[in-house]
Amino acid sequence: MSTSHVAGVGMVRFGKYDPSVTFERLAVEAANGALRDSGATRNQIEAVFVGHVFGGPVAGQRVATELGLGGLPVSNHENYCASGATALREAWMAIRAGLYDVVLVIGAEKMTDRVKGGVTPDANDLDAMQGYVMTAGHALSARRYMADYGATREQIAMVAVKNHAHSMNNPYAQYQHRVTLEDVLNARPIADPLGLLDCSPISDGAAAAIVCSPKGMARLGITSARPEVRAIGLVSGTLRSGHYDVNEEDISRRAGLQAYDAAGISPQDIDVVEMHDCFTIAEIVRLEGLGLIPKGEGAAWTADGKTSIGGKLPVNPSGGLLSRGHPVGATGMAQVCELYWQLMNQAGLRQVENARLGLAYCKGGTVSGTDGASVTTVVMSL
Amino acid sequence: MTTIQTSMASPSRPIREGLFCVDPPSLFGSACNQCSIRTFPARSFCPACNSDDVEPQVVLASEGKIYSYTVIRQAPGGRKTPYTLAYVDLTDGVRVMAQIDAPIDTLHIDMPVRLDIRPVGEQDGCELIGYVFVPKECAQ
Repeated sequence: MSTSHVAGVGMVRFGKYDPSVTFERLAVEAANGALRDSGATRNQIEAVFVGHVFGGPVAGQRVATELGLGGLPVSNHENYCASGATALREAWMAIRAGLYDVVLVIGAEKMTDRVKGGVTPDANDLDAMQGYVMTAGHALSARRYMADYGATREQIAMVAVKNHAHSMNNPYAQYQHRVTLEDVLNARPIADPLGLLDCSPISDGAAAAIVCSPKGMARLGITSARPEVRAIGLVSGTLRSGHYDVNEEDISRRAGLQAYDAAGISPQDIDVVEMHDCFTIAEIVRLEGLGLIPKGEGAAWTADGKTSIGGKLPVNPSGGLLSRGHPVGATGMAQVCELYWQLMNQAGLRQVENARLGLAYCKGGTVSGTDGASVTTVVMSL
Repeated sequence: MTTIQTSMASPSRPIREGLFCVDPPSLFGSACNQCSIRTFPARSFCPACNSDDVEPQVVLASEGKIYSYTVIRQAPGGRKTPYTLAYVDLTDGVRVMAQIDAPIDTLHIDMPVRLDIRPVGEQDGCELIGYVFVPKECAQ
């Protein structure tokens, strides 16, 4: 089977765009950036994979038309907040299968003009009928994590402090300013014990990559090394029964194992992580679920600086979802852009030293009674 | 035991068919004949052992304790805040997500609660009946 490589990436700065700036325009700008970065021309692209949630029917085809890529196979991929990474996985599998040598993958979302007050499960979901919102699930997790492991509210809040410090050096981040521990603790309460700065924002944005087989790289005239997509895990949640531990993160464990096995690595080999920190507590329990941090120690690791740039395991050098912003369908591809820059040593002042092997994790959606809906784990190395 | 019936003339309906009965107030689940695990809502298979040999409708325990809770102070879709959402661990091993009707300052992990079936909203002029949990010591 062919290996897959990221030949180039493009991204628009995440943030709140005027309603006149369309979904299509954001996606086109990111895609054109990836084409330029890789040196690919339009006629070299063989297929387009687009991840989005709120883009509406055939959003990918609307974008491809504006890109001048009409006529190609275009597919739309929805796995809620894991949509972008799911689109990448489909592209990766198609290249492995030998179908294509040069493809375009886009994650895009325009949320600020259509989502207010937070994202929710589908209205027909039984938990949604009880008033479940995404923040609620993470608040329930945080309260239990504090009770079970003796973690403090301050330690959990430090995830936001750390990620905002990282994003100060990320020109693509929605927020590029420092926040203090006091800022996080005193922010407007959203779902106790979590406040506004424990939550990723509702954002607009797009991120894209050109993914190639070695043959495709040669076609593009690329002779130097590009990061390889070693493996992409994809799992869904399972129904939990009995009085289970809500922070056991079995879904993360399974997604991690799938990627580690396929890539032939162990979690200890990973130099840098882009983690789906949709909420502060989520970064902690997911790192633990992946086997990257011992169970119950994630909050203390964060407070001790072990997950900061320069620490034992740098997590979210980009600033993560909390600071880069979270246009849900775009997030997975924004993580891939960040891993590309880190592995290519192009991350500037947020560069993780000697970053050779990176992991990007996304978790999308919830289904009542399960431990989640979809989790993706992208392993990339140079 | 009666389940709420929906008809054109009905002024009220349950949030979903088959979840509960009103009198006595109780939730319906399924029970595995192989491993005895109970499930809410009822399913045609056992999520614990994957057996298809399940009792399709059993009455679940109506008391339990709070496993974790949160007071939601911002919600989309015009839902009135604040409200309390919790995982309730029933005495027969089932976990249910539901709202808790109790003063916020009395909430705590392991707080004993009991089921209550009541109107929880309104849709198109029709009263929606659902389930919440209330403090166990609360008078019937």
